[in-house]
Amino acid sequence: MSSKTKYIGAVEVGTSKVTVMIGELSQGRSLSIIGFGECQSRGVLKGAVMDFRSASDATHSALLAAESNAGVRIDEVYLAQAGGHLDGFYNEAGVSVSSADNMVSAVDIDTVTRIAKSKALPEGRMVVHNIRRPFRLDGRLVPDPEHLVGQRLEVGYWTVHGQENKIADNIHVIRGFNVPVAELILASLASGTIVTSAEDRQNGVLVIDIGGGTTDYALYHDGCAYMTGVLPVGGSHLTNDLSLGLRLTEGQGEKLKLRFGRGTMTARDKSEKVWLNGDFAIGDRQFPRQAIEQITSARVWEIFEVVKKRLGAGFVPDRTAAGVVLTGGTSKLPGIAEAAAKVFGISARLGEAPGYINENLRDPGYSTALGLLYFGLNSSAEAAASGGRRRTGFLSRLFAKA
Amino acid sequence: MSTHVNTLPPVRNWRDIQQSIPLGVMSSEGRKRLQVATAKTVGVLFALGLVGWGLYEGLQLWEQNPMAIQSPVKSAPVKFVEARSDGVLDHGWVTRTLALSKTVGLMELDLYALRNRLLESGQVRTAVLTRKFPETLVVIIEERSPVLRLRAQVGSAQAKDWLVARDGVSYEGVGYDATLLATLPYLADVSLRRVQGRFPPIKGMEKVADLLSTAHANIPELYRGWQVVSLARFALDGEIVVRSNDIKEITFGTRESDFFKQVAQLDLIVETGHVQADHPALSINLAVGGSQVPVVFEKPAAAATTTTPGIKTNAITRPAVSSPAVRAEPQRPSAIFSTLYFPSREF
Repeated sequence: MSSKTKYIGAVEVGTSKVTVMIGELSQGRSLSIIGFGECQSRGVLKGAVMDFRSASDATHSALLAAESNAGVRIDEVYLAQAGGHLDGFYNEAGVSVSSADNMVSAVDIDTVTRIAKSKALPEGRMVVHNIRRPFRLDGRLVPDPEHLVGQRLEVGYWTVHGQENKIADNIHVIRGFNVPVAELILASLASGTIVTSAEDRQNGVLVIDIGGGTTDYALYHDGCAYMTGVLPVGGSHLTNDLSLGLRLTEGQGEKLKLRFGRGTMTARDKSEKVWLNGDFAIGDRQFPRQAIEQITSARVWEIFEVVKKRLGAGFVPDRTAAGVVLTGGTSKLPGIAEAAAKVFGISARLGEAPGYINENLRDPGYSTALGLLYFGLNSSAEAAASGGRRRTGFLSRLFAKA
Repeated sequence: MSTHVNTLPPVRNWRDIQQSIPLGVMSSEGRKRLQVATAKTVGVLFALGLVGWGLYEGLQLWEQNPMAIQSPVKSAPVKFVEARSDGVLDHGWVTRTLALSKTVGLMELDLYALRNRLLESGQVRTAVLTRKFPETLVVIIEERSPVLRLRAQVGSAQAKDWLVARDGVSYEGVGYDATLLATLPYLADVSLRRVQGRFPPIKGMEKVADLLSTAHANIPELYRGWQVVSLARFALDGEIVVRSNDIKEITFGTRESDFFKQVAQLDLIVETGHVQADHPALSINLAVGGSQVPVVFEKPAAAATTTTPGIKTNAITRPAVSSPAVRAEPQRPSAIFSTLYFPSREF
C-alpha cells in the first residue's frame, strides 16, 4: 500500500443482512470499489444489536469475505447507523453581527453555530449528526455568510440523536474486528446521497429506504437534509403479516412476499389462487392472490402513512419537486412506487445508483453501503482540501473569549 | 454572548464513545489483527530505541573521548602504495612524488592534497587515490602523451627540453625513452609566460597534434625529417610551418579540418620527383588550398648570379608534366592526386 492509498470499509449491519464494501481511496480524490462481502445478519433486531456475539460473528464474516475478495486489509470503517432508537429535532439560534461595519466574521458564525448545536439531550442520548440548514442573514438564505453585511445571523440544525448504549454496541461490533470506526453515518443520509442527484436535493426530495427491520427516511430541501427519521418497521413486517394472516411459517411468508407481494392491489378476482411452492409436492398449498396483495399493500401503505405523519408540516408537496425516491431491499416490491405516489400526492420512483456503479452493485439493497463509500470519498477530499485553508485561529478564539 | 457560548454545556457526541474494547470481546480475527498491529508497533519502537541508543552512545563517546572514535581507523599506517598508470610513470615515481611518511595512517591521508601533488607534474592528466583498507593506498594515473618538444630556459637555469601534449600542456617528461623523444620535432615561435609557476596551455596544439599524427601515419619517411614546427603564423593566418631536413619550409593550412589532403599533396610532390637533392625546395605552401601548390626552389649554383638569392617566386604555372608517375602502391595518399595538375619547376 502506498502512503497515499487508503482502504476504507463501508459496513451496514442491517436486520436481514450485513453488507461490507471495500473502497480503495487514492490520493484522497478517487475511489474504486475493490471488495464486497455479504452475510445473513444475526442478533440484530430493528437495526439494534440484541445479541453481541451473533452480530459480531455475522459482521466479521462479512468483513473477512470482503477483505479476502479485495485482497487487502481495511484501514478504517464508515459505519451505517440505523435503528428505531434514533430521533431528531430542529433547533435554531440567532446572533447580532458583532462588528461595527456589520460584516459577518468567522467569530459570529462560530458563535451562532455553537449556540444552535448546544441544546441539551436527555440522559443516555448522544448526537449522531448535526445537519446544518442554510444560514439566514437578515432573513435571506445564504450558503456562506462570512464577509457579507447584515445585522442578524441565524442558523438552524437538525440534530439526530440516539441511545448511547445502542450506538456503542454498533461501534463495538466493528471494534471487535480491531478496525477503527472513522465515521458513523445515518443510513438514510448514506442511501439518500447515492440515489438522488444534487439537483434533486436542491429541488426537494424525500428518500425512503425500506430495509428489513427499519424504514429510514430523509427529506431534502435547498440541497441539504431537512428532516430524517427511522421507523422500526420494514420488510420483515410484511413477511410477518403474511405469516399471521395466512397462517404460514416465516420462510413461507417470505417466499410468498417475494413472489406475489405488491405495494398496490391489482388482483380483482377473489378466486384467483397462487401456489405456495408451485412444485405440487406434499405440503404445497394454494392462497388467494388478492389476500396476499391486500396484506402487503396495507402494510406498505401504513409505512408511508406513518412517514408522512412523522414529517408533519415539514413535508410540503410543492417544495418536494423531485418527488419520492424509494430504495432499500423492500423497494423491489412491485407497485410500491405507485403506493408512495398516492400516499404523498407527488411523483414517486425507485432510486437507482449512478451509472458508474458496477451492475452487480446497483441493487437497491446496496445503496446504503455505496452511500457510505461516497461519504468516505467526500470526507477525505474535504480533509485534503482543507489542509491549507484558513481556520478560526487562536487569536480569534482569544478575542471571542475576551 | 461570547461568554455565554463558552459556558454552554458540552453535548455528547458519538465520538465520545470509547472505541477500545476488552481483548476477550474481540473475535479471533480481531485478536489476530491486534497481535500483528502490536508486533509491528513493538518492532518499530524497538528499532527506534536501538537507533536512539546508538546515537546516545556515539554522542557520549564523542563528547568524552573523540580520539577513541578515530583511533581504530587511524591506527593502521600505510604499508603499501599500489600505483597503476597507462603511461611510463612507475611506482617509484609515484612514491617519490607522494613522499608519504612511514608512520602516517591511512585515514590521516589528505587525498585531495596528495592528488594535487601528483597533478603538479603536468605529465599526469588525472589521478584517483583510493583507500584500500586496512593499509593500502591505491593510485590510478592517466598520463599525457608528448606530441612535441620545446626548448625553454626558465629563469637563469640552463635551457632544457620540455614536452608538449596534445592539450597544450608543457611538462618535464619523466621516464620516457630518449630515442622516442629524439623523434619528436621541436615546437618553435611560441611565447611562454609562467603563471603561478606553471606554463599555461599552448593554443593550437590540437591542430598540430592532428597534423603530426596524420603525417606520422601516412608519410613516415618524410615525417622523420621534420625538425621544427613553428606556430609563428598560426594565430594570424591559421598556418602551421614545418621545417624539415629536405624542405626548408612546409606550410600547412588549418582552415580545412582534414590534413590528409595536404599531406597527400606533399607526398605526391616529393614522390613525383619535383623535389630532389640537387634542387632542394625552399618552401612548399599547402595552405593555399585547391589543386595548386606554390613551391619555391633554391636556384642552382650556375644561375645564382642572375637571380637575387632568397627571393621567393611563386611557381604556379601550367604543368609541364602530363604523365603521372606509375605507382606500385596505390594506397599511398599521393595516389588520389595522380590526375591533378602540378607546379612546374622554375629556375
